[in-house]
Amino acid sequence: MIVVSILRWLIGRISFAVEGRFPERFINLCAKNGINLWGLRGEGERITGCARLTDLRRLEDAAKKNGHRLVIEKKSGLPVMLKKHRTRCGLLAGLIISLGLWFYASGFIWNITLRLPDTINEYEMRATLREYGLYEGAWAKSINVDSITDSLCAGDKRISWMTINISGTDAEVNISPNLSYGTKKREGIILSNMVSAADGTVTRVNVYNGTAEVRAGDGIRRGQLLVSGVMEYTNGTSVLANSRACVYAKTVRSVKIELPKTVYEYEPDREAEKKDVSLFGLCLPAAARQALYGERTVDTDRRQLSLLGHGLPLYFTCEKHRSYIKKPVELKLPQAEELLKGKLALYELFMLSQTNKGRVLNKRITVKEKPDGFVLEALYELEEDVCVNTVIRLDDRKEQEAPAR
Amino acid sequence: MIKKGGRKNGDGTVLGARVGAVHMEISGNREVIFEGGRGILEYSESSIRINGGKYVVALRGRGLHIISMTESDTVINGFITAIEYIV
Repeated sequence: MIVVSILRWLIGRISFAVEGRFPERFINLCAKNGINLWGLRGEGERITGCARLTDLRRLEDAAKKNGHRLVIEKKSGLPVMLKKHRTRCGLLAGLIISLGLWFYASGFIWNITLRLPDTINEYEMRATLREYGLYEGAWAKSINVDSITDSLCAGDKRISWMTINISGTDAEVNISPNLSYGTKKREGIILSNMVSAADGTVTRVNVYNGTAEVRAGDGIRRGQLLVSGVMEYTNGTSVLANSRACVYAKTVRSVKIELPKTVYEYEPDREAEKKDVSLFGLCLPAAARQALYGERTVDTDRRQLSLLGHGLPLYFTCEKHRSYIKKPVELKLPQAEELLKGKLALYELFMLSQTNKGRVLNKRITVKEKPDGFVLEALYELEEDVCVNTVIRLDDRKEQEAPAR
Repeated sequence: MIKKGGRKNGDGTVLGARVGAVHMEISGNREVIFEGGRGILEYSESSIRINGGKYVVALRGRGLHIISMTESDTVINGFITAIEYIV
């Protein structure tokens, strides 16, 4: 129905009223003469309706023939509008120019949508694509899609395959990751023992493959054999295997964190906004701004203008700059303790992430004030899996030392 | 007997062939589409009568109006309460 309305508007329409006896005769005559009518409403001896602008003369003839009175109530549509504004050349020129610009601008790439795996950074990929000539504002016909895809697939080992679909002003880049990238090649069966990575006392032993050499309650040292890859059977034979086990042990770790008496704090000083408008990649400043120097942070908000859900190549960027003043602060023991404990919490997170299934059983923290600063000493009692694999070398049978933790 | 001039449907059946070449399509009681009508005999908001050749089709209702009319087709809209064939 919308299409019909648009067509009627393009052709031009008239709203009329016919008055007289037996208005049905007028309708029949119009139908017989091939005049299309719509929106007919009868009100006694009066009928109102619509017809095409080109049928006006024939409508008048039909009304005259039947002795009816025809009243044209309204004329509308494109022909009427053009006739009305025919003396206003500026409008016509504007229309032609805007159509020309529209046609010209549709030859550029307005939007680039990237569908990337997690391993590839979007900003980095946009920069790479820009080097190959695919960017917002690039002339669409100048983009050699095959060349870009071939070059990127060959040059970047993270990419398994990629496609670039250009439809109209939009470019969609789909990249599929190379799943084998970053993974070690699977080697053959490795024969290994498991040794301890730290000193401690064994609490639990779970052996999945191999022969346990320690029991719960045993004291162990770093590099000591925990699970042997030599499996002996009751019939006297033995085989070498890849040992797998979890040996949990209580271990102790200590840490010392120092803090000077004078630290520096950053106090917010001034704020400034930088607004830019970017059209087809051309960045123009939208507002005058004050320059900020020294230590500062920047928050960037980038928004794209869209019309009817379709992104336009117009971006508004607002950067909020905040400058800071470096200010010395003399610390007292409670403040220093708070700061040191914050640092210790970070260390603890890092330490636990480095251990294998580790958990803190107990910790002792002492904070001391010294003439040149503050010192925090922490002693952790952990329970962690201390097993690490060492390859059994069949050529020289030399045992490897346990890797440093 | 099947007359010539009937419109063939998708399944090969001939529409309007047995009923004097008038094809009438009714959507609920809100809209009627006539194909092959021979003219309007009466037109008011409460009653519309259409010449179907061998008979007259009378529509009665409220707020009846012709939303579109060409030489062969007529689309009538409104609240239809009765359709009557006057032979």
